[in-house]
Amino acid sequence: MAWRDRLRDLILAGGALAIGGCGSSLPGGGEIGAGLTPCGNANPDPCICGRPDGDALRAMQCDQKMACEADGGAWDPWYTASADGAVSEPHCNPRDGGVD
Amino acid sequence: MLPPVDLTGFTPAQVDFAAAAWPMRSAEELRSALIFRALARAAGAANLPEPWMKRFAAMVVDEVGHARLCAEVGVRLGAARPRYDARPVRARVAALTDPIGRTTAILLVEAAMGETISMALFRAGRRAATEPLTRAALSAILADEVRHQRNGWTGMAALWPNLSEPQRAALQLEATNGLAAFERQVAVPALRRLEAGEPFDPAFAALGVLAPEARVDAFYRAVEHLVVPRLTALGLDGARAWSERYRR
Repeated sequence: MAWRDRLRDLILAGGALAIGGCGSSLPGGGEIGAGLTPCGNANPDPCICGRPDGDALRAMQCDQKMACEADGGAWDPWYTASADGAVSEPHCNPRDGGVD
Repeated sequence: MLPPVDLTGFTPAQVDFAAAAWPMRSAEELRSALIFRALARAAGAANLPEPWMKRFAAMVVDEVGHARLCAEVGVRLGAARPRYDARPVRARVAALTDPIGRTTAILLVEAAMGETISMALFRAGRRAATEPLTRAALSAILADEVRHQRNGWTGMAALWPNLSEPQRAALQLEATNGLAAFERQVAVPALRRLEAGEPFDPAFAALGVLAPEARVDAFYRAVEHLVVPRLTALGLDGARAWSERYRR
């Protein structure tokens, strides 16, 4: 199955938010994932739906997110893999880009 | 004994790109070592019989070896030393409170499912790799991942008859969440690159970096042909776990 079909299946499975809302080039466009519950697995926000109370990892990430945003940064909730498969964790993008 | 590195025909930029992957691989392998150490300890607390204790302990040793190997290859290619972050492992383990639940969750998700997917990715990476040091390192890790995933599935099969219905239901949920997490971590970044039309230099594949198309293909083949059928064979509903991975 081609990668576009995989992407379409992922969205149809409810994972639109997992790909950051992209999908504009997919048949039918990106509206396929509209109307998803904000509490689904696809929504990565660690602070919603009681997640901090039920999951130590989410609690830690929620603390980091709030601290990040309080400092004017933007929280990146995604686990992203480099081309080799190594995974970077959710992290804060500082307001100044982190360059001293 | 690792062969010497041979970078004939590669540009410094190509080598730098591929080298940067090794410290990240090292960090990932150390996280695997830590999670399998937690598995071994939980299995001890749950009084699992041999040979499982020895097998889990051996997996820890293997993964520490992988972390060292990846760091060494990275250094030989000019990369920086790895930075290790154990916080995700601590959080994962902390969320699994009782010994049996911790043992079965880690055995199913990280050992059986995770090492099966890892095996598929390392196999795909090795297939395209031609640089001798890279190929040797990927081959060494792949051989261990094959054994680890087998330990995961056979270990789960051995424990399954003694699990209660609530424990089995908890594992169905673990499998469902695990599939979503693996897809987000492994496939989605590659799908994003493909969607964005980012070019991929074929020389990267010769240096062990998996092309996005190959990553996507290896991941979904592993899920559909190995993970889902094995979940079902175990007694879980693999197809439902896959179809409902974003619907809870």
